[in-house]
Amino acid sequence: MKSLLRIGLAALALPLLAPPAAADTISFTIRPDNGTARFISRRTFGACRLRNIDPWTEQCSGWRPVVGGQPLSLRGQFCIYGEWDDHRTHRGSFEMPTTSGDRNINYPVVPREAKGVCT
Amino acid sequence: MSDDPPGAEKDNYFSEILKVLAFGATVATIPLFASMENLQPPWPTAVAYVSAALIVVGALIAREFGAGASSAALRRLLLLASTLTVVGLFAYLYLYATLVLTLEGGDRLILGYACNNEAQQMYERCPHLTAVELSEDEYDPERFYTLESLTAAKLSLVAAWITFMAGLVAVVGWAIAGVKAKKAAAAAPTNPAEPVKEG
Repeated sequence: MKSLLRIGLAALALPLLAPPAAADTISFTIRPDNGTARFISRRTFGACRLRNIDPWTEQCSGWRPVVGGQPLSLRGQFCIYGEWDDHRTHRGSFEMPTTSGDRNINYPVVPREAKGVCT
Repeated sequence: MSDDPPGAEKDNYFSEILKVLAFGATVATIPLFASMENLQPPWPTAVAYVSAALIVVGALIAREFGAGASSAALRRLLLLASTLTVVGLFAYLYLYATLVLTLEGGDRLILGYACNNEAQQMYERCPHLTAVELSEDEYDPERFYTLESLTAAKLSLVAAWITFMAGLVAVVGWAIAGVKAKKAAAAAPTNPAEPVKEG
């Protein structure tokens, strides 16, 4: 009984000693590089639409700036917006997987019209 | 040369075999306990330690209540603990099936009982959201459910788990105490003038 208890307690504590799983990251490349970009979660995007706020504008709170080349650990669906000095824009979306991996996904932010689920 | 009476060597041999078998059985339970990692509640993260503490406390309580109890009393306690185990297990499985969402990568999320106002307007499925809806805001249930309902969901899962674990430990403890009580009763002298000591 005592040894069973000891092994049981050790087995219960084992999962706590496991190292944390690696996560996928995403980094953005803004081309041409004189532009800026920001991203927002799809739920916040939809909530702004529900409140009759144009979700692509910064009036919709929840946008986060994209820092070119810096890898971000994110999960789920997002909308992304880029703009350049010559008024060209990028409206797109991306999805990050929930599977724990160790990859870096590169997302090129180039001028283009709305594409994907964020319309 | 041994001073043991004839047959004692054979008894020792069998008791050694029993010890080896008991060790084998103990080792065989390791995967069972390890599999509890996926079965235990996702919250709190240190629930494994809570479970371990519960096993110790449960074993001590079972020993305290079981020691010196009559066979009939132990049988009643065993029945009570078995009921607790079954009720706790089914309650836990029901709550787990309705409140826990396992993602593709193995992460587990606890869903709430009630969506917040915004989520209620956006998702018809509320409060029974799936991974698809939760993916729209970083799989963070706090952005979809009210904090009160999330706390209630977490606590109800833990309460059912504790009921199940406490019942299970008590069943094992009192079953062992019952066997010991039977052995003691069998070994005790049958003279009615002498009181039979159990436990």
